Amino acid sequence: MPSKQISLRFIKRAVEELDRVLDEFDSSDPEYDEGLLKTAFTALINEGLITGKGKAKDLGLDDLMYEMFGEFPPEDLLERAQTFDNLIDTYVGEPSEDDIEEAKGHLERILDGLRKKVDSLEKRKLREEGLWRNA
Amino acid sequence: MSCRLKDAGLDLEMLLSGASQIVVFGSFAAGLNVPLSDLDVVCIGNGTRLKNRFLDLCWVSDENVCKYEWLGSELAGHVAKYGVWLNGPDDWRGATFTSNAAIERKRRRILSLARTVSRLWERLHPIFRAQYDVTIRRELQRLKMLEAGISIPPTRVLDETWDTEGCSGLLQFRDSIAKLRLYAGQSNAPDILRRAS
Repeated sequence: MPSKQISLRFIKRAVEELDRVLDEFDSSDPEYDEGLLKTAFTALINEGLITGKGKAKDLGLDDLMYEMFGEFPPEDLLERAQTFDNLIDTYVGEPSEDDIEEAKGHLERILDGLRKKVDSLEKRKLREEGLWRNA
Repeated sequence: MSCRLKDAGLDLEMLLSGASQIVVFGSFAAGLNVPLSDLDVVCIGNGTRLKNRFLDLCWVSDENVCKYEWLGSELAGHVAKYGVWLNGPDDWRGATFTSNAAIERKRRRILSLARTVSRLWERLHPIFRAQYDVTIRRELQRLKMLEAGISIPPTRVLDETWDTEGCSGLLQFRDSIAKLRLYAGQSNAPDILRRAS
């Protein structure tokens, strides 16, 4: 299977949306935090960036990693995303404020990782444009 | 089950080594599964929670399984009534009950969901609004059952009950919760809350 073309625009928009989630994050209200994540997914669906619309109602942060990076997202980001999803999951029991704070920490690290990815993709793009001009 | 575990990157032997009991619950245990159903498993012992499209695996430690908090929880009541033990003794099965904490937690969750949807309505894709419609309706059904001391059945049973019995009983129950009456008639509220009595 050919690997997915990583979209710089998609990652940049995801960073903006997840940044907004982080700004509004409320460690005392896990249901609200789940809702905030859905608003981020909504924006990305409405812009045509998330295309697995049929599965959208079950989307988690780990699914977003697959949407952005294809079959093999960076392992550290995927693991943090899965941990985040499990920590804020309200099905088995009420997550404690500590769980939610820990989830917030993972989201911050995910954002750091995505920003680094944006930087490296932008540098690569500039290098490639430079090479093309020189050629 | 082992196929589902393999899909999730686990194997049954690995689970057996860390769990004193393995219990399947939810739609598979009740024989109500459809091709897209996930497999719900609770293991007694120490391990890592795992949730994906195929499998929802949670752990309760040997120490906690006999504690009031677990035995009085919604999930313990459901597992005790509908669960299928694949391994280990079902030694806590007859000790479950519905605690006031479980009822309070469900009530808090419903109020929080209602507040969240109402606040975020304009920013939610229709698919998420529809999801909240279903989630809040099911949670209200569960709360009504918890208050009546009934173990929560698999989700599909809740949906079938809703389809066959209609909404009047649930609307009446909703109206008994003062904080939910605020949403009646509001356009930015989930279906079950905005409906007129």
